[in-house]
Amino acid sequence: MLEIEDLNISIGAHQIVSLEHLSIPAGRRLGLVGESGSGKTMTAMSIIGLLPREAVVTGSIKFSGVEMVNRPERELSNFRGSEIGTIFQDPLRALNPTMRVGKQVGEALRLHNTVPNKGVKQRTVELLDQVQLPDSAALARRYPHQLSGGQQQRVLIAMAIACNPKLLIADEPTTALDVTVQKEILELLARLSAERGMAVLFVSHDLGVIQSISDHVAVLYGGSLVETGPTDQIVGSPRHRYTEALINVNPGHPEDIAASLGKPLITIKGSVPPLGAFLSGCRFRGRCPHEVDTCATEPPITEMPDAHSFKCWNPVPTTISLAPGEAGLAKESP
Amino acid sequence: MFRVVVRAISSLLVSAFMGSIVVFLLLRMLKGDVATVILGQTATREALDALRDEMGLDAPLVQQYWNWISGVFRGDMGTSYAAEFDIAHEIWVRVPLTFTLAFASLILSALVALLVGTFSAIHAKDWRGTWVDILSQIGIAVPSFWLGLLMVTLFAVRLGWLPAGGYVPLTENFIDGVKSLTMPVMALAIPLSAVLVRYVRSGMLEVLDEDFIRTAQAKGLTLRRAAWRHGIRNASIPLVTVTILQLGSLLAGAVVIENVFTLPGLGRMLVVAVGGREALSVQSLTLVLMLMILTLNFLMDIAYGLLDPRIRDSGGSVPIA
Repeated sequence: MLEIEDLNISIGAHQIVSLEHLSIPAGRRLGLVGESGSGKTMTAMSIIGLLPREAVVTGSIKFSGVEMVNRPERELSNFRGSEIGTIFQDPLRALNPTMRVGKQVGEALRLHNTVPNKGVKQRTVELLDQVQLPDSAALARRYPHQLSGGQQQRVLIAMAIACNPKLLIADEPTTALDVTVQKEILELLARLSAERGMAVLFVSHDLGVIQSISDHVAVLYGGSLVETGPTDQIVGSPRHRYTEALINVNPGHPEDIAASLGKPLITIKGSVPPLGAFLSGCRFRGRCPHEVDTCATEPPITEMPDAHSFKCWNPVPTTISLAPGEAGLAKESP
Repeated sequence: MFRVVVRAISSLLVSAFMGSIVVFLLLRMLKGDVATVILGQTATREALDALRDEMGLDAPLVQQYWNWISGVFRGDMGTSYAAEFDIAHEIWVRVPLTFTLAFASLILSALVALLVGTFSAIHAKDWRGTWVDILSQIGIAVPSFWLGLLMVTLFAVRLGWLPAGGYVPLTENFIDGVKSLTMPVMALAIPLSAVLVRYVRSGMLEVLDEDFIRTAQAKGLTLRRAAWRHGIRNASIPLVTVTILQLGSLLAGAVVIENVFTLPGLGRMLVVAVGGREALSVQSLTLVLMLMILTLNFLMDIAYGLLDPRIRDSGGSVPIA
């Protein structure tokens, strides 16, 4: 349903995103994970054309066969909110502080003529019910600052799903929320996606969060896709050294806290280089503990079964038989 | 909202009281005393003593203040020294004109500033934004009395569409009243809106960067429609703050404009009173003009509450943004 090919996003002389291929079939929940500055939000926003004015986009993003790249704003806005819903990181800031929340939800319905004007109010309340907001009729008349963070995010979700979109883009939707609320929101998103057969592009820096909601994961580093595949494979047997590092730095689930206490927290050494300061070849070079000489040249994409693929010269060894030529490299790794 | 109103009223009362003391003391701090001011340096000692006695200037300051302010409450501000008219009555009949003039200019310029400022923020990066910039720069530079004279030459003398001066009360003949106020209001509103446009523009540019504008776009609004539907109300909150700061110069402008268009308002009375060294009239007129500013200020405080539900909930405290 969504096919991204050779997507390049640059601002000025700096290339921010460079993606060879990424696709989201209908109903799939894809997690896009990466550190801040990895270009994950840019990638997600390029789908609906909501990038900074200065950004230059080349390549192709096809949504249901329609090319979205460099489409005029007026035409894109027919897709936004109707075919593609979006929720954002900071729910309080994402809502208009001077408009009642019900009206903000209803606006999406009116814009795309989803229901006749007379039915907007009733449908708004139904939507608020569906995102499990209590006392929805009264809540619709309140202003954003009168709601809790979790309630605000539910309002945004109601707004995003109002017109039954085929794809929901969720850009760090739980990052600003308490851990307990996070879990509820994730469950709600998973349920809505399953009920409606709605595909979700879930953007987060938190692999743990991604793991709990997505069936597939794409790992971004420095604007480049380093590994993608089914969630259990990515988490269970990652191949790319960056993915491996990301999994290692995750302190673990709350139930593991007792076990993790006293152990030092693992970090990835260094930080994401500033724009334009990446070394040639693999972008993780310089921070990677398993660097080999060939890393200075662009690593090839290695395809594995189950649509699992990665881009690494010296991948994490695996017991599964590998493509010819790769096993040798795997042995060299410490 | 109730708390917002209560807060605005109490602030109005406190400011009015403090202001009245300042107005009263300022006149006592003049060189010589009020009697000398009225009669001039050449007056004889007997004449000065007689006037001091008549005006109660020998009494302690507190007593004098009390005499004056209690008179104001009773509607008695004394009589003019030279012209022998009742000051309170004279002020009372002139208040509606000056207030209408100031209020209409205020509302008009705020509306124009909102529309033009939003337009220029949306088109900040193309030639339309630049044009608004140039025009507002000119508008700020043009003094309102000169603008008034230009308009008289064009609309009254050349085209004969509007009267060159004079005033017909709106309650007497609405159409003629509006005609007589059109040019004075324009002369006041154009420079004021030129100032306000710049604030709306920069405020709107900030609002357009807000996340909720992006949400509106993600919902399916174009940036332009998102600015009109979601931006205006949010951008008008800082506009209220700036407008409050402009109230003083607005009233000062009204005084000048009334003289340009020979409107029988407080401004004309003030100029005549100052020219005639009518200390009592000046004192009470200043008080009334100050009360007028405070009233407009009060209305703006209420506007905050109407515009922003967060201010309503916090009982009227305006966040310093």
